[in-house]
Amino acid sequence: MSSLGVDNSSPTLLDVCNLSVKFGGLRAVNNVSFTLARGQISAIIGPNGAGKTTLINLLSGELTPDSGEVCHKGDVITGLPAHSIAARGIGRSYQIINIFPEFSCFRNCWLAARGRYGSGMEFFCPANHDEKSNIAAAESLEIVGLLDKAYLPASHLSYGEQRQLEISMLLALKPEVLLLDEPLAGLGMRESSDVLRLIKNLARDHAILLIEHDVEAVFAIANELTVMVNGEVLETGPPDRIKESGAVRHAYLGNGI
Amino acid sequence: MIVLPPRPILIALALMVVAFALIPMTGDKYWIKLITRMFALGIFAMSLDFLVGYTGLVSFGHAAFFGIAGYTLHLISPENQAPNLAWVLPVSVFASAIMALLIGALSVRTHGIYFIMVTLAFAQMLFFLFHDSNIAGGSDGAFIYNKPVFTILNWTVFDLGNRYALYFLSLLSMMTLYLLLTVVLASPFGAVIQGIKVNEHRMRALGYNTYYYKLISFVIAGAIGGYAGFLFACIDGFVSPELLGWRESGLALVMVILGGVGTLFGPVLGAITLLGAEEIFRDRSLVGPLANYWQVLMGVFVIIVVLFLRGGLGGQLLQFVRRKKEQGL
Amino acid sequence: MDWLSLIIQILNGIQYGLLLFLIASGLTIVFGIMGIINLAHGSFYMIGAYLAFTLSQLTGGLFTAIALGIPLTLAFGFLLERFVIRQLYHRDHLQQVLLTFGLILIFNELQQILWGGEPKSVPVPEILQGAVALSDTLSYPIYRLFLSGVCLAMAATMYVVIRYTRIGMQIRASSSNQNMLNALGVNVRLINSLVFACGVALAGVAGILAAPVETVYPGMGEQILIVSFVVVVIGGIGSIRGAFFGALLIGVTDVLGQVFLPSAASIVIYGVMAFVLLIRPSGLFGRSE
Repeated sequence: MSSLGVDNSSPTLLDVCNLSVKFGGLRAVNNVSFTLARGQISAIIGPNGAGKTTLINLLSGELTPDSGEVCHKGDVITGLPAHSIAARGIGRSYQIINIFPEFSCFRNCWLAARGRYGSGMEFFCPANHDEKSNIAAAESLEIVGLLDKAYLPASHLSYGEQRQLEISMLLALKPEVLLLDEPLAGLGMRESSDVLRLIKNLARDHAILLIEHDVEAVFAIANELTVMVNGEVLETGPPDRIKESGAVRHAYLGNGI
Repeated sequence: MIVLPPRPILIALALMVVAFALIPMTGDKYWIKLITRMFALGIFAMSLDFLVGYTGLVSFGHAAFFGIAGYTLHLISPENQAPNLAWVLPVSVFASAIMALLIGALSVRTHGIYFIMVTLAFAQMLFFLFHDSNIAGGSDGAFIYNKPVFTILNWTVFDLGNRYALYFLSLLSMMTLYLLLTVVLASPFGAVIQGIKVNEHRMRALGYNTYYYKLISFVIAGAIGGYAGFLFACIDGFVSPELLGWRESGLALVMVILGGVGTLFGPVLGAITLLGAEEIFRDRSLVGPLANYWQVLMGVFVIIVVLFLRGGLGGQLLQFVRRKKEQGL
Repeated sequence: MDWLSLIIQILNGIQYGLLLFLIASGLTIVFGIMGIINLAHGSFYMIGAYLAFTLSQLTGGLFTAIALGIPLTLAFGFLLERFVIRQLYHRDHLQQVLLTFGLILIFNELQQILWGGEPKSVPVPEILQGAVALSDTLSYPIYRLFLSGVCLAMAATMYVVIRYTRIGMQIRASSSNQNMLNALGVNVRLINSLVFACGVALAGVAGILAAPVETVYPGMGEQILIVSFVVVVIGGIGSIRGAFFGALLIGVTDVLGQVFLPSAASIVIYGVMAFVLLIRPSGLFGRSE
């Protein structure tokens, strides 16, 4: 595994600089810096409680950092509310399924697409006349293979399918930056490899930040690995180097596997 | 897609409207007034359902907007001349909308139980504002002597002093507003507020500034609630602080839950049923001496509805129709 | 206005605030622990006040009314939790609001049946009559000092019980995770009953204590309920400390508002609430989101 597939000339989409947040006395994320470019899959690994999900929450605007800076294409976006960050094309998926269970799969994705293409401030024109969002929703469902279930309520889907719907909503939002919080959690072998293939395909024109516990999978698709422990970055580098790094093995792989 | 209730219910509702259209032929003053009230409160309950059942905002202060429009009508009407409906109605509704914007801007920042308490508190503030001051008669309330007249260029189209005109205007308004809300709910805006009700957090992560959507929904509901209050003030020819009181807000919520949260047509049935129940409980020939304590009966009725009538009348109807359909297939 | 009369007004405000605290603390703790919004809470205050009227007439004094009123309101709260409130634990806020709204309608009508519509007054006990002279012309009634003292003592007791006793620990744990506590073998149902009954008794006692200084009238329950809501919103829902400071803030603001802004007195406290909502939507001591 190397970073051969990465187009190094591509612009940096996300530039994270010394990000920190404290919960009471706990330093949940401490002085974390990294960059994320188009075509790159950057994975964060680390034991539970390392601050990985907190980091994503900071990037997506659901939490506000105490210090540090997040730049998107050169604009500082630190402290912007979640909806503004999403509207800039930074989308995220959730570790715990976070969908609209009562709505059809299509409606789930339609809301995502509409959020990106237009506002909801239209009062008299029927929602289903919005062709652009309809097409984007259908496309995103097709990518994850849920098109034939488009009109089923999301709550009728299996767990694995709901995870796929989660990703499909993210795609309908058409983000440039994808923040994926354990997209493989709870998936079977085959579903996992489907999702991994999907992520790899997406990496061609997106910047992807991936949090994942499945270390095998991460080594297989990431071009950059960051190891986090107790809110701090222990080491960053290409997978080969991380694999050989004794310190990382000691801190994480050593007692984990 | 515009979602109307299933055909059997639609037919039943249409028949009900036809029956309502025929009732004035009996000429019974009492019944006509009672049913006109049902229409006004039906609109009021519908507007609250838009908030509670479709946006997920449980407001316990909705009567504020109901009362504000009535008071506005009283305050802007000239003393000894009937005002023209063409301008007093929009102005009254606008006053309610502005009040909803002010109260909403603060309340919509809060969630769940806070929202309930905050809306109740602000509505109560307005109640005291009218109750403790000498605006419009203070705690005694004030009469609306001249009911609005709808005139275009000196031609009087109808006069709300005429009980038939008021009856049909209310019935027509109720139907029109029902359709209007149905259209709004089918629009992108409607899709977004319903998304907010189900999962607000996710809507924000999809790029929607949910605050503004909730606020606009609050203002729409407030304006329509004001429309209902305007009609109500015309029916009674009287406004008092009680119109804005927490009791009125509570009863509106009872109408919504009795009729079925999130069904839009249900709350209208809820309003009709609740007013009907009140008539029965106060009727000495039906409940005997208990009529003196009709509030206790009302309280028990409310508790039974909340505990046992799952989904309300509208929900029960929808379920019934669905079951019949499954059996038929 | 001179300094002394200002101090008297502030003392009145503190006294009102302490009374509010007794009511708001029950409201906030019942929400914090059981997740229930109880509109009928103001009715307990009204019931307390009417109990004070009847009991002091029957037994000849406010002290016996207090002594009898505490077990009566406790028992009432216990039964109410057992037969009505327990139905609400797994229902949404809307249903809780409406069911307790129904309760208010019933309580109000029962009040009408039992005591009628005229306002009642309750005499101040003889030993507590009179006033402490503050200057040649100004004095402060002893009963109001007594009232504040009792409220403070109850607040202190509540603090100690919740902070330092075993049951207090269980109550605090209960507000964060009832299932866990159940699994640990704690009788959560009993804790709920107990907390609710204590909340009712606190509001009831507040009603008894207030009866000699306020008029006892039919709508007093709702009046105090709304103000208690304002207190809870300002303090932060579920926070007893918030209820304490919120109640003092509202008590003093309300009294001073009546002195300095008589024309807008009834809306001053709502203005305070609006301001707090602007800067901290989840209350001064509430957990922010």
